[in-house]
Amino acid sequence: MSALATRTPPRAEDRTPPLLRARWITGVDAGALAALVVLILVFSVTAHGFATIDNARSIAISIAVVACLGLGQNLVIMTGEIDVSVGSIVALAGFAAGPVGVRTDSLFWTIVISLAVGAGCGLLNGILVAWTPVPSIVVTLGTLYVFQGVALIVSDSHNIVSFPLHASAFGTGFVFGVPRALLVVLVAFAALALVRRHTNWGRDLLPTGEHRAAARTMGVPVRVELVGAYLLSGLAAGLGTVIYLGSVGGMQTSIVDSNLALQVIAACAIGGTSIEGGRGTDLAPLTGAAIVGVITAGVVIMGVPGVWISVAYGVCLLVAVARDRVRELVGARRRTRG
Amino acid sequence: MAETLTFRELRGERVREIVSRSFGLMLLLVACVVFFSASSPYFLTSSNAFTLFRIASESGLIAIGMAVVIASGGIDLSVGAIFSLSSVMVGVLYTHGVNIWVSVVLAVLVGLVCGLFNGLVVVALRIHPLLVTLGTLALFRGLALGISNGSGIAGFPTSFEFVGQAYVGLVPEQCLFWLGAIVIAVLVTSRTAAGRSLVAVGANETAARFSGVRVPLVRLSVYGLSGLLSGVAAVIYTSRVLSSRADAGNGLELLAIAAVVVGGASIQGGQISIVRTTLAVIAIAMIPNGFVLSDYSTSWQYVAIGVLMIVAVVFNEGLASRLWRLVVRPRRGRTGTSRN
Repeated sequence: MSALATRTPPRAEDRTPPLLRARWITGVDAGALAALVVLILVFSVTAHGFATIDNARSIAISIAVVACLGLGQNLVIMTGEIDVSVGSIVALAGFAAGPVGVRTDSLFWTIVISLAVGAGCGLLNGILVAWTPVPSIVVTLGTLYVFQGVALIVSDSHNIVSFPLHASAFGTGFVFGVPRALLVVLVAFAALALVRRHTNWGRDLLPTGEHRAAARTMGVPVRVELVGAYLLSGLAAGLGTVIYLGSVGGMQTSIVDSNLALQVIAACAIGGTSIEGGRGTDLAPLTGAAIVGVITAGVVIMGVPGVWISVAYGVCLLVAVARDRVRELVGARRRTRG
Repeated sequence: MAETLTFRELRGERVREIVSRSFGLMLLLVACVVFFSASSPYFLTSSNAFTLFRIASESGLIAIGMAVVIASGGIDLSVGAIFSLSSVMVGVLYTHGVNIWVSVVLAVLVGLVCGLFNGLVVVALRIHPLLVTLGTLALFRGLALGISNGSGIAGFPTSFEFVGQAYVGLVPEQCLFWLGAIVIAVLVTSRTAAGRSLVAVGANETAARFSGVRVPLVRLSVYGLSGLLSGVAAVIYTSRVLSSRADAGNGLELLAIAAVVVGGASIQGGQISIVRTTLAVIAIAMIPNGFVLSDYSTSWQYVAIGVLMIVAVVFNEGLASRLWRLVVRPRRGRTGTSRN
């Protein structure tokens, strides 16, 4: 390093107050978290019956699947790619693992099969994205149709109903009053956050998304990064399937039309991960999913008919993704004034 | 490319580019026609062809809009939602006593307004169009659900059947709309300044701006056009099935995107071919049609669409141009140029 480099002015992050400089906080999108807190406060005051333990539990269960899928999708988005096939992976894993779960009532085998299917699908996506010149949105759009078709073939047009008690353990029940689905997601989150922080693979994800060519020149194994991210996205989808089967109590063939992948991408974006890659936090999918869950529940409790929920959701997403731009505009104005 | 190319070489490059980018599409078309003709005697008949075009004209219209949006470097995930909102508008307005043709015009205008809203958010807030249209997807479909209260609307007058069920000679009515849109789109994209600016914005926004292209106007109009075409397609659909439903057009956005990329356009923008996009729509529409006629399980059609789509795009994105280079040796020992 030259002497010049040492004299460069401190970067913008260094001007943050000392309390916020702690490592675990700088890894968090403060805006999204603040929005979540404000939303919870607003609904607690305006919607009678919002601030109850039961409601908190039901929100946690309702967002668990999207949050779980988001954990994987988030990694993919960080590398500057996208995975629109996760909804179909859930369908395929569900129709592969569901009948086994129904027959054996074994949580173990449900998890094993579901994760194996998820990993296989994720690996296929990753290999196609890393080794073919086809853009990831096209690859995963193709595999979306493939997985969807295979899921329908495997299901033989039969829905999975009355999923048995023991196999549903990840989706139902409480541990010390906390929904087990939420605990599963939090454990997965903690594991991924550790991997992201303490392995070379995890730390190189953001550079891969920030500037692919520069990362490659610096020695980042870009293909390994991509395959890993898609593999984890598939695994997260497999885990989400186990939660889904448990909390919904089965799976309908209509799940293939459910836009699940778009909800998951939206959750990551709302939580503050940049869709262009290179910028994002581990917590983003959880915050994003929680914001969506809180708004949906709050709107319902306030008595808005269910058919209008999607409008609230769309507005919320637009406002959330507009916030960076608005902050930029406000900041620019403040700078010119000062 | 460091060295200057002569005009003839430049033309050769252009031909090579077009041939290699449409190779996957041609392969897909030929494979579908040959395979389905062999497996069903009803596939290669004129009546089935018109049935196919009749169904495909809705996604065909939407794919034209999507091709234009993608050429400008954007993407529009909300076309299916605009489709459902426009469809619902026809029904709701008609049941509230508005004249059916006035309802139709208003529904198409609703599509246009939705598209312009997308464009406005993209231009004014400079948010990634994927996220904007993801948000408006939920918004517009929510509006469609809310306005129709989640139930279908039927009971249209028989005169309304004219749009989506009438035939002119052997040709279904809606194919004429589709053909008209194709002709206009081809002329505009290949023969006018607007078409050049569209591709310029998608290829290099900064360069386009410095060349005097009004980038915001281009962006606004492409989303407006996409919304407008979705509205037109929705009217045709509503007339064809004689009911408005808020869940109409689910997944239509993904099919339209698939058609554009199978047609050889880059998802990053800067390329457009209306004809190839249209051929891709027809090829993709052949798959469910052929599966039904050949009496195969319909679940396999999704697998076929996905696999064929990836294979076609692999060919479009380099494999074909590599093969081309093997067959047609470059003159003067020029080493192969890099892909795009």
